[in-house]
Amino acid sequence: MALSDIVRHRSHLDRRFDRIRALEEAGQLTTPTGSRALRKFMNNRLAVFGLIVFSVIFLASVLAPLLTPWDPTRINLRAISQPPSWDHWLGTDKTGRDVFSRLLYGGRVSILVGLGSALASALIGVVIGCYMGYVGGWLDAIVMRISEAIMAFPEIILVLMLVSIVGQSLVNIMLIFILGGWCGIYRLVRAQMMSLREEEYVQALRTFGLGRGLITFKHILPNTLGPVMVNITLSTAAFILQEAGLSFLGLGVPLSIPTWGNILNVAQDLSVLQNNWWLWLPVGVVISLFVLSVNFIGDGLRDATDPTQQG
Amino acid sequence: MPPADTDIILSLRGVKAYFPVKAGVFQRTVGQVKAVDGIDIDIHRGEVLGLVGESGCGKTTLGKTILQLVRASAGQIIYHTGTESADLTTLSDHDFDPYRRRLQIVFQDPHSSLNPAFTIFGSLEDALKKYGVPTRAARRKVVADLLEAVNMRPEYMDRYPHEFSGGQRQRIGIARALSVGPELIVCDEAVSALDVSIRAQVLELLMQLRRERNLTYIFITHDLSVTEYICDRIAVMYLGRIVELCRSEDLYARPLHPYTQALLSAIPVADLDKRSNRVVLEGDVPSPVNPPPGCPFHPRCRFRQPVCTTDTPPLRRFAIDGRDDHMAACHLIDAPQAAAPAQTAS
Amino acid sequence: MADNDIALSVRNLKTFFYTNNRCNKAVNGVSFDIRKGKTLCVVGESGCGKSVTAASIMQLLPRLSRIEEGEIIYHSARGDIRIDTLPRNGPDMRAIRGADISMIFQDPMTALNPVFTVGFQIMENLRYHTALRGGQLRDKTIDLLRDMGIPLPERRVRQYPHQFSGGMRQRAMIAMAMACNPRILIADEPTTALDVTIQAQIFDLMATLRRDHGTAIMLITHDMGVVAELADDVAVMYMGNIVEAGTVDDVLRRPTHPYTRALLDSVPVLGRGKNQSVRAIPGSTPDPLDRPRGCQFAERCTYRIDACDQMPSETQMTPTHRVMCWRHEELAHAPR
Repeated sequence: MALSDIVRHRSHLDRRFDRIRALEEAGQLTTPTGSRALRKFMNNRLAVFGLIVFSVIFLASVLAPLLTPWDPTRINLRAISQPPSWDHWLGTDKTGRDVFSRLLYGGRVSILVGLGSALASALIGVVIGCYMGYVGGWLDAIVMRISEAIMAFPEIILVLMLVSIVGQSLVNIMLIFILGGWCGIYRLVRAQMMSLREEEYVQALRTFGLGRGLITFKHILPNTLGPVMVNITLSTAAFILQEAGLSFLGLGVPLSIPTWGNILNVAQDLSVLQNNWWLWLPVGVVISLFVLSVNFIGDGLRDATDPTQQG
Repeated sequence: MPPADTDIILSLRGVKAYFPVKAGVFQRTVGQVKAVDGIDIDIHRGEVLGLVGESGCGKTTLGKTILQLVRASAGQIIYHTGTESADLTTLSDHDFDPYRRRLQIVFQDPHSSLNPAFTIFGSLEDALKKYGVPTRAARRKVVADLLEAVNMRPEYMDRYPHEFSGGQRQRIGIARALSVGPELIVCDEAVSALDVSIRAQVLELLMQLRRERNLTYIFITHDLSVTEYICDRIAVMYLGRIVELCRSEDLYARPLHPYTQALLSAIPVADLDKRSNRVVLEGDVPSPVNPPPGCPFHPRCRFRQPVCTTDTPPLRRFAIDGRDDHMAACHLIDAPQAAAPAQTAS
Repeated sequence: MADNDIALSVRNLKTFFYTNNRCNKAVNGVSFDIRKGKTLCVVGESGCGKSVTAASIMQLLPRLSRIEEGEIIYHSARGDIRIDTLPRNGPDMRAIRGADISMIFQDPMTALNPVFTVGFQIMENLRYHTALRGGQLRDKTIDLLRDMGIPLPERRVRQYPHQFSGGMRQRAMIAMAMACNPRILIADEPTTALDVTIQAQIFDLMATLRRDHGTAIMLITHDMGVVAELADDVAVMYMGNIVEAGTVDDVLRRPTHPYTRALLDSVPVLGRGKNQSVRAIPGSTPDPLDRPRGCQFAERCTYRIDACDQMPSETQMTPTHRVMCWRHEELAHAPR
């Protein structure tokens, strides 16, 4: 053994390798069965952190009635703008409503808007993208141009225009988000479809004379869903932020329904910002944490389903 | 249409497959890729016909055109079932169905030839449903039988493609091709992507199935060592045309076309005693976008004469050893031509 | 064999992979020499470890792997250098890579960077390893392209990879590898992706390189035909070990190891006609993570005996020919 072997620098990676080798040679390792993607996801610490934070906030919103006795819409003019106390964990707002319960119940609506819009626009985008990507032709060209026109429009202006036309309501806001949101997934799925339709198993299905619909929706579609799931998580985050921004400006969900953005609406007032931190800071933190956690989950999903990354 | 000859299963007349090259803002057609440029050949029932050539010669496109995966731009593809014949290029989707099940294909790449999202049974089920296997139980029986026919265990039908090796996946691809009861199978480089020692397994399987089920193969490959071993007749393709067509033994014993000679001499032989005089061709394998005038091979041919640059040589029969079934497309071949006109290449 | 005859020695090399938290012994004790000016062909099928061996020599292994044991000794003009001890991306290793030991890869389409001209990529190599600058770089690059048989090199220098055909791209890659006149060229299946007539051109080129530059070549392939064409020495690999090694005469005329014999028997040879005997090797290669005990080939071997439960030791049958099999004596005399 040369001197260089003895003084070889053992890095952290080296030590991990030594551990694995020792276990392998003792015959104690088996290739884990089950989904490799799941394992990779669970090994990603940020993704798991994101999953935990997401679950906490989600469950808290769903279980709101169990966690707070206060009605989020009940006005109590004798307890205006009170700072946090044992009665009101996050204080009260300008009309005496309990901030904590508004936070929890507001979460329900915000998550509904975010997740619901993301899922619905994904459904539309996948169906259209699948069929158009496989068939091609002039119909596909038309739909592409339409999607490009929608995407080229500045989003905020599009939303504001539509809101002013159809009016503010929860359903309207979701419909507007879906209208603007299907394009991204449509293009993603279409691109995948165009490369997958040249795969040999697709040609084999064609030699059997199977119908286009069957080939597209039953056989190829499952293979496109990986990136679509990542896209759904990231869209959810984006829609929540968008809703928060619009509601903050008073242009989103009507103020009578509590959402995170609506709660933030009061922060337009400088005096509130300076004096009543409990009215805006907790909501801001929750929105940030939730969006951040969803992004971590999305990144984790992408890394886990990416076949080229080493595990 | 020629009278139905029960010996011939498929006749190709003047088959061409051109693809447009589009350019410019309005995507106008500025040229043609002449992938298949006029093929005439008769394929006999039960034979193994080798289709050999290098990249760009059109052999894969021809295989797909026969199966109607690619639309022929011109020509006729006539299928003879024994009781009737039909030109496949003129059939509608619906009329093509009874012929579709008789023509199948085995692909090259074992990794993309099976749908990763489905079990083996799931991949095969829809074809069986379409071709009249009514119940799920019956379909499972059919798939079990198919897997046994390719020397695999029936319980594998509930596994996913990624659990199998390349050689096993290729055998599953063969089982899939057999599932609808074909008569003619196009093997598109079916063993080229496999490890060398696995190739022999798959070739043995293909030959065994052919004997058992009286199949006809069109074996597309660039590997002339394999075709010598398994093919009855060989067609050598260059730039979308057949340049030589003859029995397997004749090709290796007495190649007539200069391209075939160069191709054979270029192959590295795993036998130290058999190193040949190599003919090294100059230049590159051409692209079918702008084929040269006259003989497609003349730019690389060491025997080139002025006539080769202007006149495209037709496929002619030559009388050798008392037979007239050796055909080649070259102006300069020094061999007696056969009396019969080379109208049909059977 | 005199020591100054040898360009590179590999002694008992072991390279293990650590993906998926398991230890995959991809190369498990491999020894060979690359002789100066000669071609060593490493033959084997997928999974045997031949590409990993090449990557180990060049220290181009992926992150989750390492050279466990063994020595890779490069006999340079400056003295012997232990490559396995050099840090992977240190200045010493980088000075060797490209200048002393070069590598060419299987797929010419992806081996060249599509956004730089071919000339730029070759000049980059020269600029890093030599003192040439400016016009000298261009001249040398044009000379290289011409030597590799690329017509009109002055024009080609300014072109991008996509404007080259497959065969020419392979030549350009060889030009890049030969730019600094390396003593050792490692070629990983360089002709597998090429058409047969283009393959022939590349074989010619490699023979010329050996003759004119005295480059030692380590050629990795699965094609026995290529071995017969180009090899001086042969090493047959299976599941991480060299099961048989010797001169090309030794291995092709007197194959001893059952795997070598089975491999030669399973391939149709051009010129032997329709009635040649082609026998497939039964079974398939074992899972590298679930290896059998003892000889890795035993479960597929027609000469298997009980002793095969223990890994055979290497026997030097003649000064040039060695084999890892308990029954080598009978097999050396068995007819084929």
